[in-house]
Amino acid sequence: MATKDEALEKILAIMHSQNLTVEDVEAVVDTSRRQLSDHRSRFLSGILGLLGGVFVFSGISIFIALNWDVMNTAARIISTLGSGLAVFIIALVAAEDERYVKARVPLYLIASALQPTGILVAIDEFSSGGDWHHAVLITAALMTFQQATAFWQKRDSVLLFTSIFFLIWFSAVLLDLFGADEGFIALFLGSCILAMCIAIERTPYRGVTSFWYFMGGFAFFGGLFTLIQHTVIELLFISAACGGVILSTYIRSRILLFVSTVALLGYISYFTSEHFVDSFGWPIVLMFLGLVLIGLSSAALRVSRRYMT
Amino acid sequence: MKALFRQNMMLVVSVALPLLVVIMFAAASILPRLYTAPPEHDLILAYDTRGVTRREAPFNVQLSVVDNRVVARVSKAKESSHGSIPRIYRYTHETKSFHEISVPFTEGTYQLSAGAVIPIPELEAVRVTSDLRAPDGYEFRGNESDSGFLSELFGGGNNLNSVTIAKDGAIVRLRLPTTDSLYRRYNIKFIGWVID
Repeated sequence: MATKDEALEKILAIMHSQNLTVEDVEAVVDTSRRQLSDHRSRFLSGILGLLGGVFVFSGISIFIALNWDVMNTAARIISTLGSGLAVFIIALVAAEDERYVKARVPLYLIASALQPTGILVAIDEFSSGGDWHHAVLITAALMTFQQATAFWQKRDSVLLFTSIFFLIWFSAVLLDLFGADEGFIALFLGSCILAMCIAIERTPYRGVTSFWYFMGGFAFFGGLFTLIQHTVIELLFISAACGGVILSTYIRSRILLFVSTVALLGYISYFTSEHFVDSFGWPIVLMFLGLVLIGLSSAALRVSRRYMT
Repeated sequence: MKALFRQNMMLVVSVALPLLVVIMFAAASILPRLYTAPPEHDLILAYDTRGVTRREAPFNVQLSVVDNRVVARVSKAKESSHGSIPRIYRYTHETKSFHEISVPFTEGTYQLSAGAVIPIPELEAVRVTSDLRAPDGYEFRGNESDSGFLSELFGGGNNLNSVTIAKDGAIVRLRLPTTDSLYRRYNIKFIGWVID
């Protein structure tokens, strides 16, 4: 439209042709204004909620840190576990009230930090030595149960996020207790996390997957590399990284594409530096590698544009 | 009233729960102190000045309790490092304060050979037990401000010039008489409780 007057004329024409009154148009404009205002206040409420959460967490943390040495057993447990439980209950109540619904995110996260700390403090205060694995397993199991139950009840993606976190913590410590190799633990948990993310993609909670694709991808490739480094099947890492790129296009995950590309670039850099660093052709290889990297990064960008938008 | 509470449940819970935690915390911290008698014995601590002050010497002075007496014995420092003379502090339970006990250090002290004893007049008549638990039940806990991952996580460990003593959940913080930022918790050494 060339001018404002022309646009207004068109609106007027549409109003006449559709038998729309001025009140109808006013109502639509009002609704649009209200939606914009709601969006702004939600954004502001979210920011204030996060800031409030940071202040609450800092306050509790500094108080605990400054007074830790003069606290007895009960005071230590109350200040950590007690605070954590209180914050968790406040978060549950906030989730029910539309005015404070944004505040629930930092509150859930604070509770997820304070509660396991409190349980570990309680175990430390009442135990007389023993294997640390058992203390962490009890803590992680309790937290997984609590967060998963709350998620089941509230259907809140934040609780799904924390449930996954505590479940992974539990699994990692359990595998470590049974003497599993670090590389195997990372590979196994990475695969599980990626599988879990793919399953979550089909649910309304897909918002939590970005972080877990990142963590799962890095754990998977890190674990795989640790396991097959200096073995005859080391080159299979390239196939795995390429598989990651293909999988990322299938599930439309930019984060997994990023992680897979980084794994591929990392391995190519490692391989050339390992096998060609002392050779005469190293500078040529470096230049070749540079071109390959540029090619790969451009390919990743093309894949991202073509399959994920 | 009920409807008002129901409408503002979030505010009610946000005020009530932290308040409950604070009350429980206060009760857990204060009640043991109310029902536990204050310390009845003085405490002797040493502060290793190595690398902190100018009280360095060509030898070390080791403080120990032998036959319920505090003994300051000379031991040769390693050639590569300087020795030090510790500062000694006595916590008086009646005044709830520390004062420094002077260690006489003259030119002649430099000539002392390893194993020689440096007399400390103020402690010669004092009987001391090196048990961590005093006869009145108070136990020396030292400086725990770095005792766990929690303190590390939250940036604790700022009370470098203080130690704590505890009995039945009652914990008393004792601050050494200085604001010297060079205090290091590991430099504060327990010598013993004064028994008479």
